[in-house]
Amino acid sequence: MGELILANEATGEEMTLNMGPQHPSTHGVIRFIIKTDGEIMREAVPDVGYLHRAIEHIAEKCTYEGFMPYTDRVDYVCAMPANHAWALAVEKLAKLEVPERAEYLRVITDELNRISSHCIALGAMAMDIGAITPFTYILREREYVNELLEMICGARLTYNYHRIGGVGWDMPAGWRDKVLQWCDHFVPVMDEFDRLITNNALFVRRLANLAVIARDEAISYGLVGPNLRAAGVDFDVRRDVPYSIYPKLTFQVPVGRGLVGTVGDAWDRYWVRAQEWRQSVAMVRQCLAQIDGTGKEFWIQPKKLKPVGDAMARVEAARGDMSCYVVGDGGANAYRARFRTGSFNAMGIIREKSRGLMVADLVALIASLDVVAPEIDR
Amino acid sequence: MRSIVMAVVLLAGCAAPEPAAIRDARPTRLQRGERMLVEASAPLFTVGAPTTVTLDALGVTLPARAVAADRVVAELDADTRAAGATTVSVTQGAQHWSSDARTPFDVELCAPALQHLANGWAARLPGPAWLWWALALLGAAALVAAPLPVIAGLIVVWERKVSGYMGSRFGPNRVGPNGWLQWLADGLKLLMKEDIVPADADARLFRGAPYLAFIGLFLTFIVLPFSRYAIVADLDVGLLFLLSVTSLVVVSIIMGGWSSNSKWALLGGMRSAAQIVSYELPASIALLTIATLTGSLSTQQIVAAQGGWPWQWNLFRDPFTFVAFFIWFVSALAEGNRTPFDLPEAESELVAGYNTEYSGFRFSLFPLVEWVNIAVLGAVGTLLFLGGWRVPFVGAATIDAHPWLDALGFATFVAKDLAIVFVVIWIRWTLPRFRVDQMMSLCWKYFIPFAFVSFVGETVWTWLVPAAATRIAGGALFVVFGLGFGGWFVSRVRDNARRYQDLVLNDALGPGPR
Repeated sequence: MGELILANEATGEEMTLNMGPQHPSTHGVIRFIIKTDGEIMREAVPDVGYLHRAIEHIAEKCTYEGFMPYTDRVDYVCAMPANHAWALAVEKLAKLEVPERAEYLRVITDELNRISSHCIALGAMAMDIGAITPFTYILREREYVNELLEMICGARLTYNYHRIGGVGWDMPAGWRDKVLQWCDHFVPVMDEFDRLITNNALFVRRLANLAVIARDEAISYGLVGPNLRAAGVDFDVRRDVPYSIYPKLTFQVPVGRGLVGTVGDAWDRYWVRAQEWRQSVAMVRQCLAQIDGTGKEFWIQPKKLKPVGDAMARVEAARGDMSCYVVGDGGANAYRARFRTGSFNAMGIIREKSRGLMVADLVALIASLDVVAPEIDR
Repeated sequence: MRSIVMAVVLLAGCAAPEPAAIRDARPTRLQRGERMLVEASAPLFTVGAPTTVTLDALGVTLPARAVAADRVVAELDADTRAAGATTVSVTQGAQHWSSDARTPFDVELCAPALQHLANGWAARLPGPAWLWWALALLGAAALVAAPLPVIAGLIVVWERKVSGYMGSRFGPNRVGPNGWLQWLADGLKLLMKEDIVPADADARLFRGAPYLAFIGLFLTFIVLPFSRYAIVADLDVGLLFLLSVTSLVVVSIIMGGWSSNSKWALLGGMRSAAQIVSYELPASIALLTIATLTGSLSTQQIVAAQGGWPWQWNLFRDPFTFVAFFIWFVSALAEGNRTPFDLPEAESELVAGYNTEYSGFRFSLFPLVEWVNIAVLGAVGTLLFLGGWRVPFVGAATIDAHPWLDALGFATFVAKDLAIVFVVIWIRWTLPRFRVDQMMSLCWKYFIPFAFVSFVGETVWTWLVPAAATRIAGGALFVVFGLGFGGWFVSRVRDNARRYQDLVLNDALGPGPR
C-alpha cells in the first residue's frame, strides 16, 4: 500500500485520499485508498482486515454448541442466517434430526432478520445519497422487527437463537398475532418508502446506470445474493439449493430488470432488496400459517456431539450465499471451520467498478453492494 | 431592435412624444434637512423669480429658487413630519408644472435619527465626522445583529424538531421548555471545547476564516428591511451590497477548506467555490429582474413597489417574475449549501467538508452562519417577491401616522421569512443530494439560460405591457398558481401527513418482555 501512495503523489496530478477506517460512509471499519483527480476517481483500492476477530479460529477452540454465539458476530446486521448456517453445517456433519417446528421458527426468524437487515441497507444507501429522513423512517420498522425478535429470543442484535438440533425457545404466547399485525403494517410502509425515496427523481438520477455490473462480471467476481440477482442472474440458494422448509414455501426471486437504467446498476441492486422485503413478508406469513400443523417439539438436544468428517451448508443470508464448511475429528471442538460470506466478494469488485466514478459515487457504490465490515473480515 | 419595437409602439399609437416635464434630478431618496434638486427637461423656469416646490402627497410646500432655466433647488424642511413617495409641483407666479407620477420623489424619515446622533457626536467630540457616522452605523448594525445567534439557535432547534417529526422520532425536548433552549446548551458546550489548529495548517488563515464568514453574513442585516422603520440603512445599492457581502462567505469557506491542509476539507472548499460562484449568476440575474421592474436597488423601494395582498406581490406580478422567484429560490439554496446542494459539507462523502478540521468556537461559527443564512435567504425572498412588510390596508402613510402599526409590518415580515425557512428545512429533510456534475449542469444548462430569459422577458414586459394588463396577468397568476396549484399542493401535503400518521404503529406491538 505504501508504494501505491508514493507513486500517486509523485506525479502531482493525482491526489491520494485515505477514506476510512473511520469514515461515516464506509459502513464499518473499512478503508479505501482513493486515487483522485479532483472529483473524479482513478481508482479506489479497498483495504480490508480492520475488523478481523479470528472467528473461524475461535470455532476450533470452543465446542460446537459453544460457538453459536460467535456466529452472531460474523454478520451482526443479519445474525440469524449465520446461526442457521452453523447449525445446518454441524447437523449435516453429525447427521442430526431437526424438529419441523424448529425449521419453521428458523425460517421465520431468518426472514424477519433479512427484512431488518435490508432496512439498514436501503436506509443507509439513501443516507449516503444525502437523504436522511428515509433512514430514520425505515429504522423505525427495524425497531419493530428487533422487538419481535427480542420477544422470541431475548436479544435484539446478536440473537444466539438457533441451536444445534433446533432452536432455543418456542415462540411466546401471542407472538404470532404480533408478527402478523406487523406484516399488515409493513406492506403499506414499503409502498410509502417507494414513494419517499425509491422513485425519487434525484435518487434515480444518482443511481441509474451507476457502476453497472454485467452478468458475466458478477459471476466471475463471485458476487452472491442481491448483488448477483441485480446483475440479472436468477439464482437464490433458498430455491436452487433448497434447505430447511423453503421448498414448502411459494416465493418469487426478484431479479434486476434495469427499470430505470441498465440491468445491474446501483439502482437495480437497491430495487432487488426492496422486492425481497415483500417476498420475505410473504414467506413469514406462509410459515405462520403452516406452523400449527407441526408438533410441540422445537429442540432435540444432541446427547454427544463428537462428529467425524466434513460438511458444508449453504444458506441465503441478507448479503447472499453464506456457506459454512466444518471439519470434525471426533473431538468436542471442530477441527476446522470456515465461513464464506457475500461482502468479501463484493469488496473485490469495488476496485474494478470505481474507475472513473466521482467521489460521491463511491459511497453510493459501496452502499449499493451492501457490504458490512464484520462479514468481510470475520 | 429598440427602433423596431419603438416603431411598432408608435404605429400602435401607444406612445406620444413626451411633453416637457420635470423630474427628480438625483435619483436618490431625500432626507430631512437635505436639498432637493428639481430638473426640467426644457428651459421652463425664470431664474430669480419667486418659486415654490410642493410635495403633493405630503401636503408640504417649500420655498425654492430657480438656479438655472432648468434647475430648481429647494431645502427640505427639517420639520417635515410625513414621508413617502410623491409627485412634485413647481410653481412660479401663475405657472405650474407637475412631475410624472411614474418617477416619484421620495422622502424618508428613518435614518435621520441616526444622522442626528452622529452629527451630535461629531459636533461635541473630536475626530472626523465620518468616523462618528461609521460608529453610529456600526452601533445600529450591532443592535440589529445582536439577536443573530439567537435566530440561528432557534432555527437549529426548529429544524431538529421538524426533522424529528419527519423521521418519526422526537427532536430535542429536554433542555428548557420543550427543548427550545437546546441551542444554548450546544453553543456553551462548543465554547468550552479546545480550539485545535492542526499542526500543518496555515494557522493565520485557519483562524481567520470563520470570522470572515460571520462578517459576511452580519453585514447583510444592514439592508434587510424588517419593517418600515426597522432597517439599519436603506442603501441605494441595497441589492448589490447584499450580493457582494454574502460572497465573503464563499471566501471564508475556501479559506477554511484550503488552510486546514486536509484533503477532505480541500475537496469541500473546492466544491463550494465551484458551486457558489456558479449559482450566484442565476441568483443575481433573478434579483436583477426585480431591480429592473422596480427601477431601484434599494430594498425599501422594492418593498414599497409591492402591495400587501398576495396578488400585489412581485411573485404573482407577471410570468417572468414568477419564474424568477423559483430560479432565485433554488439558486439561493445552492448558495446556502442546503440540501439538495449541500455538497461542500456532504457528510456521507467528505466527512464534514470544509469544516472537518475545526473545533470549538471556531467550528460553531460555521453552523451559526449556515443557519442565519437560511433566515437571510428567507428575508431576501420576502422582500423581493413576497411583499416584504406590507400589510393590506396599512400603507406607509398610515404607519407614519400610527407608528405602533409598524409592529404589524414587522410581524408580517417575520412570518413570511419563517414560512420560507420552513420550506427550506422541509426540502432538506426530503430530498437526496445532487452529484457535483449534475449540480453544475443544472446551473449552467438550465438555470442561467432561464434566468436570462426571465430577465429579458421582464424588461420587455415592463416596457411594453400597460399597467392594467399587468394587473390582470398578476391576478390570473395568483388564481391559477397561488390558489389553484397552491391549494392542490396543500391538500396533497395534508393527505400525506394523514397517511403518515396511519403508518405509525404506536405501541401496537404491546409491551415486550423487557
